[in-house]
Amino acid sequence: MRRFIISFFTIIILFVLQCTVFKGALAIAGIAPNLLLMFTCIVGFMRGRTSGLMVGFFSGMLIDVLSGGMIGFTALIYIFVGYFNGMFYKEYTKEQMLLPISLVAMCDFSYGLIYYVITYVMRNKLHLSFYVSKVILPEMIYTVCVTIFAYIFVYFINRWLDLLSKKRNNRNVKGTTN
Amino acid sequence: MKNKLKKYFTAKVWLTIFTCLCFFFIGLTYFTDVLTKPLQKVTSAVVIPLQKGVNGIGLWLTEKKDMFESVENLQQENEDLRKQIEDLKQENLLMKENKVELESLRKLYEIDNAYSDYEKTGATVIGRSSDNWYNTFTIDKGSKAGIEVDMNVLSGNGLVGIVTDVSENYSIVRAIIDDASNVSAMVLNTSDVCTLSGDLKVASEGYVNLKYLDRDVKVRDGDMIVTSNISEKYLPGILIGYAQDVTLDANNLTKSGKVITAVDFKHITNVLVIKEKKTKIKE
Repeated sequence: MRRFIISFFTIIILFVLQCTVFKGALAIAGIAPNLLLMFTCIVGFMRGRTSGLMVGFFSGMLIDVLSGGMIGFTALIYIFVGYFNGMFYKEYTKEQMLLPISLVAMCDFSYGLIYYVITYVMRNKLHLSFYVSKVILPEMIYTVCVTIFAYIFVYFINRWLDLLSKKRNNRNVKGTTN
Repeated sequence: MKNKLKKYFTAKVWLTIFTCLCFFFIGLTYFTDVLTKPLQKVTSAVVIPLQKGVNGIGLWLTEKKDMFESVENLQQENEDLRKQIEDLKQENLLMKENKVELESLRKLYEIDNAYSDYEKTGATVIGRSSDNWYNTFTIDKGSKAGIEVDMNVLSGNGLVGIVTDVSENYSIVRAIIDDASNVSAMVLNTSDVCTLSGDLKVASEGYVNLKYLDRDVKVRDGDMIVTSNISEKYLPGILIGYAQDVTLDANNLTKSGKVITAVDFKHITNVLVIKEKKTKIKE
């Protein structure tokens, strides 16, 4: 429950930051990082498939609902991103940062490509190399830079929450034996 | 009991459930907005106040950044400006005399200032689209302040865009530089109609593309482009920008080029929403 509430507020805060500060004062060459996709990736990697896809669903829905238009489209992509990252949950240690960062980079790149194909190619805007070099790649690089800090942050919060729940479990076990 | 439920709800099951839910929403928004409007209301009640606050912080940050960068420049500029003020004061006097003359002449011709007589309301830009693909703004007024879909939005004296989505306390404005935007426009001196379409490729440089202008029209760089009379959604005669590099197309039938927008879309903070819609005026 505690985890759920914390993730919920993190999603809202990230969305607000992305729409305001990162699109204004912190935008580099007019490009903002994709914070919500990054958070979905990190949670998927750190907590497993189910958590990943749930975070993906809620952040995608938030984007869709508040930007108007087709609701559920971004959420759909984010769900699969969260699920995909969750597949790496069991096999890898969380202290190594190279894998989650490359996962974020890969997901952001493919998200950009999918988005481009569905919203731009359909309208006969075919200049792929331009869109890759001016939108998709810069966004990916910026997102990766932010991930380096965000990952450490999420890692420590996750460990702190683990400790808390462990303590509570220990107390419960003692209570039953007595 | 709890364990059994957990065993049943594996990650794959969750994936299927949420995917179906997404498809359900996509289908639903295609037909109706019965469910989405309340959803928008609830989420915006939480997010919009936050966004307003954070946007304030962001503006403050940019201000401070600019301030530290340019104290020295400012001192120099201050001196120059003082000199300029003296010159301008004199010029102003002359202008005032001219204005009186102009007004009397205008009365004679019965021309009114282009769009000062529409009812307008001011609003603040509190956010931009969350992704890098679209150029849309969130403004802090919605249906409560009387804003409706298809209302025109101005800033300074140039056209910013059009309201595409309205909720109770916020609305979304699609800028004319957005990749999906098309505006029917005309050249001010000749009243020849053309189409201005936004393009992500040139949006960052502050241009929109000008298309489908008749081949016989002569346009010089810097000619004013305004919204046309035949547009369905845009009120006539609103300044959009200034033409540049208009050349004959390869098909030898039409001309195309670029238009520098009158509005600086990078530093947009306050806008005016015209509370009259073209469709209503027609009736």
